[in-house]
Amino acid sequence: MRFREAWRLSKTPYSELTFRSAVMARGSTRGGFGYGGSPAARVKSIMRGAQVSKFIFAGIIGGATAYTMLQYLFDKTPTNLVGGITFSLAITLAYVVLYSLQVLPSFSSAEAYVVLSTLPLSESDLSLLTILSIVRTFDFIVVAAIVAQVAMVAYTTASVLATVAMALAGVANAVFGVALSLWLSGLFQKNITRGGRGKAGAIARFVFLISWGLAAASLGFLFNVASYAIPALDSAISGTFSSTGVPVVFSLVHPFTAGIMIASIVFPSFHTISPSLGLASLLSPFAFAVYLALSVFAARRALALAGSVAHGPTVTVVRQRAAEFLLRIRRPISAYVLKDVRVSSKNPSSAFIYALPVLETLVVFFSISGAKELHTIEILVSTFLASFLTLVSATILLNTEGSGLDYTLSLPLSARVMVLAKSAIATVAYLPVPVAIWALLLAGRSFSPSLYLIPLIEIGAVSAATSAELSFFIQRYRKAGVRQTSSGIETRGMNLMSAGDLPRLFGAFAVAVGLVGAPILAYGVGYLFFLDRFRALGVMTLVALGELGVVQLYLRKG
Amino acid sequence: MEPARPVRVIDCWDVRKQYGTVQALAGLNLRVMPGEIYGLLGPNGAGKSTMIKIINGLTEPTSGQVRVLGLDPQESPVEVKARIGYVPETTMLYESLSPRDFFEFVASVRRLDKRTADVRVSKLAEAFGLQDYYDSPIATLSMGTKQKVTIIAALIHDPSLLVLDEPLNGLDAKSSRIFKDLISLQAQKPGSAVLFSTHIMEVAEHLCTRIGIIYEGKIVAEGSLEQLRASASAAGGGEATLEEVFLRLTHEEEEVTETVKALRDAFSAPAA
Repeated sequence: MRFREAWRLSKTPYSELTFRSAVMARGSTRGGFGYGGSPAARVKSIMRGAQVSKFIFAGIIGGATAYTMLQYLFDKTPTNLVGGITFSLAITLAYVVLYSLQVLPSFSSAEAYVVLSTLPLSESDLSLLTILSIVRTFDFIVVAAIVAQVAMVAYTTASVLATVAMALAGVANAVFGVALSLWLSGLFQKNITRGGRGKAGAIARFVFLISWGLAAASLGFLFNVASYAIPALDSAISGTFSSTGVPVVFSLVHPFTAGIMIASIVFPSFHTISPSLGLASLLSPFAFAVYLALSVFAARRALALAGSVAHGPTVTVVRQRAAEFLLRIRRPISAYVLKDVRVSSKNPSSAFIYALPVLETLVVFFSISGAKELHTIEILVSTFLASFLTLVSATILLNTEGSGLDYTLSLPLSARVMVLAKSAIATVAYLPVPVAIWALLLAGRSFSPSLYLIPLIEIGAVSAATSAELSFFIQRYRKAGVRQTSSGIETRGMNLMSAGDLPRLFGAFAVAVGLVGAPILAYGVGYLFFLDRFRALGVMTLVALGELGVVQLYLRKG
Repeated sequence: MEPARPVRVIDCWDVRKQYGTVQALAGLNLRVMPGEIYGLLGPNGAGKSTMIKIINGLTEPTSGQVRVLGLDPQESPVEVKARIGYVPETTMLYESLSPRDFFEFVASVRRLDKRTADVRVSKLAEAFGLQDYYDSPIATLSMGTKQKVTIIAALIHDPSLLVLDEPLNGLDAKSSRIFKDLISLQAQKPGSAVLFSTHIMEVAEHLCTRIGIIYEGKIVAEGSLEQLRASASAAGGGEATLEEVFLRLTHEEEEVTETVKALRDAFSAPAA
């Protein structure tokens, strides 16, 4: 088969892969809460959403790469060049993995390739089509990253050798990202297909979940990487640690290796800054060569994995004969919570929710750990920021239903129970925030009770806000009737992808932000009015409880 | 004194459903009495699944009246769903859960007590041979085994109304037989009935006490197998099987003959 023909044909399995991943995350025939419309419209909407998402990721990666290099453009120091290259590679790697985990979970199940394998195609053609469908998943993103990296290095250094090295580093980095994604995708598939109720299995799944949470949190960290990592790098290269072994270690670790090697090319005197940097400059080309060789190995492994998937699932299913059929019966709301936790923990796009408590804690830590003395304003701001992040978890939970949504809607389950269950999970995700704030208050020897109570009272507002946010989608979805559109397509509920419904989506989010912000604002107003912290806390409590009461009343009536 | 009329399990009157410019249901009337196994037959796209979704409260009719066990599925969706056991046309389950997890979820949502749930699930799981798959993720099960999981989940609460949309899809002969016997038992319970949609004429012929043929969103014929045969015979053509009755009433008999002839010609023609 000619490459051009294979590229054209690979669009079909790629579309199927994208569609299956979206369906896996949002739901089957209905396409999830808020994804109404006729089946044809839903398919179109999902495919359009995937394409838009790919463009957005490509834009973010290209922009982030250019941003990391900007500092070097204005201040041409070796540190800024090493920092720019290193972090642009790190961001590309992180985003490729993050994006692919949304798209590739259905890849390892091989279902998207079942039809292909029944057609009279040779082994090599089948592998080629599978591989090209994977390439299509990353195409814009990887190309945008490499083009941005090469263009920025060429423009800022005007060195052909440095540009070639950057191109090689960019390609190797992208290969690592793709290989890592395929490996993680297989891991998630194994996690889904691993059966049994043994303690060992449960522990393995829990460890996997925590690992995923921490990995996702570290990706989030990259958003702020420049503000705290560049100074650390600066001290390693030209500051306190320049004469220690730190630069040598950096020169051996990807993606610092590429940064140090390219800086050595651009700044011939780079190795003379300190003996340690001299050794690092000497070692970096060798380490770079090793990474290039590793990338070739990773590419071969990825191609082999992609090829093997087309011929059938690679997972081993463990099947045990059940000794008994006993069930644990719970209250409907508890059963729904447990179901959501079980389902969301096995889907990479929704498992991100388990990283949120870690992210929230980090947000709190970084927003107030620098303060010499903790005041009410710092506690109020960090509480608000963490509450705001919790609102994201509520929307993620809407996508945990997967293919079971149709079935759940046929059960005698009110919208109120569904809202409360998801809101309870989101609220639990907020709970590490008060603990983190208390730890920082204790560490700073601050014992004012009002400071300790602020994040605690906010729990009520978080619960009210997430309930309101969720009910906007769930209640509306369940209650919405049929309306005829000008195009003749039935629309049921709300379509998040349609421009007409975007204002309502933003409206729901704005209401939720208002609900988490109102008690914080109430504290401020209360304090200005009474000039007393405890009375201000009283006002804050009243507002938070009031919000909770109104939302509960609305849910009962709804 | 006139004897009291039994409460209809399903009572649908002039139900219409519009999807844009497509009319899925065009004034459909349907009544299912207690003790009945009502077979809903019709060609693809005739409106069977739409009607079943309306009865389950999963889709709202554009107009018309629907009463299920005396309740309006749109007004009282939770109450109606609590009394229905539903097997959808395509198996839609939580793929990452095991059958045990799934049954726990369904039994909890349906507020069953542990003892009842344990007894029913144990008996049903044994009957359908689910022992080897009970703790395996649903994603790894075959289509037939997934269907068994759906069937058990539909029976777990001993529903007054079983709504089955192509329920025998993928089932092996033994499970199929067990399920058909269970359907008959279910219909015999006081106040209970079964609504059964299928394409398999033999199943409808042997299992259903009354059959409704749906065509272009309307019931075009209804009655016992004998009554349908009689009406088909009156329309011309003599003694007929249910399949022939069905094709005659849906005006597809001539079309089938012509299509088969055209296909035969196409395949016997020498390749260019």
